[in-house]
Amino acid sequence: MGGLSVEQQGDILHLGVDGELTQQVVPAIRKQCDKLLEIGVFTHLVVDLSGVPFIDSSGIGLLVSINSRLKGGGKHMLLYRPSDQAVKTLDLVQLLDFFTIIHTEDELLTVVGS
Amino acid sequence: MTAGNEHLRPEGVPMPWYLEHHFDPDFDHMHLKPRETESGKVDHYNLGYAQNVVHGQLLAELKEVSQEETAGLDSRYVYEKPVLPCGPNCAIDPANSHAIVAAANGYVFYNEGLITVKKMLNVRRDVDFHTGNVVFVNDIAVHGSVRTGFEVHGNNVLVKGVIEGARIHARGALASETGVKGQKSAQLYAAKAIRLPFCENAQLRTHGNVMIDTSCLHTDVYVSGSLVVKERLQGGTVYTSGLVYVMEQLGGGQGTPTQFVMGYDPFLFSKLRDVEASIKNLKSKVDSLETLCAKSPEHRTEFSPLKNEASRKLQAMHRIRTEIWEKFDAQDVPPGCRILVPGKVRPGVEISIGRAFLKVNDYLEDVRFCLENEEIVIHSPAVDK
Amino acid sequence: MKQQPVKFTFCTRAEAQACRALVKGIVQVVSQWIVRQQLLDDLDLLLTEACANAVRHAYPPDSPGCVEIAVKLLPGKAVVCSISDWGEGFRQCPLDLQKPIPLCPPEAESGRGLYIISNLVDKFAILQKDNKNTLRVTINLGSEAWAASA
Repeated sequence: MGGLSVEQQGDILHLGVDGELTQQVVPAIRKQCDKLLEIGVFTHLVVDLSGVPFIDSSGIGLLVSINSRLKGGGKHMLLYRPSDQAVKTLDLVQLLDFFTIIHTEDELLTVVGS
Repeated sequence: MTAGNEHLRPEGVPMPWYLEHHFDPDFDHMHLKPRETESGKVDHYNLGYAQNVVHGQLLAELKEVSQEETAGLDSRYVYEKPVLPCGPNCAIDPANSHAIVAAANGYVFYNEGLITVKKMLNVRRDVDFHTGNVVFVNDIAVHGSVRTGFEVHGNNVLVKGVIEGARIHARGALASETGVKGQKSAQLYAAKAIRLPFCENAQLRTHGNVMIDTSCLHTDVYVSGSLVVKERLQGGTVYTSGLVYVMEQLGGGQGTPTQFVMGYDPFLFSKLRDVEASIKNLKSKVDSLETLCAKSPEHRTEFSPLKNEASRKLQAMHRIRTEIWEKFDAQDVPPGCRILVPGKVRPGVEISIGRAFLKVNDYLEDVRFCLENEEIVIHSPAVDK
Repeated sequence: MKQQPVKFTFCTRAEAQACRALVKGIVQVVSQWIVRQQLLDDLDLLLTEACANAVRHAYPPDSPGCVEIAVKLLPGKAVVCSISDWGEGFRQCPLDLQKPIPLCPPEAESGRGLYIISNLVDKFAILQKDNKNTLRVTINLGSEAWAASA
């Protein structure tokens, strides 16, 4: 079962997801995210998917939901280091351009800095 | 226990527990019946001999039920206390302490009141119409024979009786204690190795080695590794890129062709054989459809699409055949590719290693055949002492 | 050598964790036949999505029934997967299989499962017989995708 790690650096909230992002874990992660997004003060949310070996449509739905919520509040969401499987699945449902996807730390610093 | 059920529970009486199974707890492999397929036919070959389960699969779980609900449930699995009958190769689900999951790939059954998964399937009889084909996720031991027309699929497969005109597919190794009497239809495959006391009239394929403890007669062998026959090898064709060792006698005389095709990937040859057969069938089909198309405009309208489809497939097969031959051309003969015969070699044996070819026309003894400077050369002794 | 089909059938509860565990086990078994990792990943995803569909829609939330996954391997040719339930099936949301399954808008938070399945397979069919509802999908696989025994 997956877990969430949270770290804040200035205006950037790092959310590390560990484990598969599937129908099984999405409801619990959604609850945790809801709380974070309610109380968090940040401009950028970096969702670190490097620890997510597998994502299904439920996981994608969760990411879309968070993204929509943040956009509505003028905030930005970045997907950081998604696995090959996650990239392929996002491509399959034509969401590669919908999200901002970052693969390296340098890229992350550039995007967040700008 | 949910709050809603409290009104059903008399004070002091615990709620019973029901064990819900996700397999058939009454499965009886001794009394299998043929099943109707979706097309309405009855399948006598696939009886579902084993209840396959995989690692992590949910097998059973306990649920609290009301006293009223127990009336409609199988009383054998209604318990007073939530005790899981967890047997060997089963585990309590880490996420649900009331559930049992499989801890290994195998088959599931009840043994002495415990849900058990066994990794090795023992078929204590022949594989025939009583068992149907045996398809299993782990190792299989057939204590009887495997009869003609039936199939066995498993990891490592051991057959104690005779293997008749059957198909066996072992994802590991295949061994028999009695041998193969293949009736010209046995097809045996093992990824890792094949070991048989005797083999006749069969087809053997493996990416590993083949060891025959006595004789190998009229059998086609596709072997990526080595072939060792401790007595006679007679008839059939051997395709290998490795070493062949025949201890007592190679060949059966001019009347029994024994052939070797060596120096190339044997499975490419097998694929080539299938492709050639497809080309032959497709060509025949295209010819028949052309004849039909020529009969009348109506026939042409009806059969042209089929003819075009068959022609496309035929062209694709030709392309695949060309690719295979290009792969053959690109391959070098491995240095260890040779035939060693400490015993006798009878005339009529045909050997090709790479592009070189040799037909044995004399009686020979204690020789080895190897490729040197694009020619097959005969040396003696077979093995340097 | 033309191999005969090999069929495995497994059952579990229509619940997310149970289905996911079963799918992972099935993919591990199938990996002994199919060597191309990309295809195994596709199989993993489509079975997970098909099961998620059954978990979400087939049965009432408090009484999940059975999900059956049958995988038929036709070595050198195709894999046919049948995911079945004995619940609602597709009665609540009938599909027109004559048309491609549409993709929902990017902002949609759900509804991508069937689209994903239909784009990972070569054939897609829904069958209903007695109480059994089956989603049957076929992936055509050339001989290069299979372990060299084919």
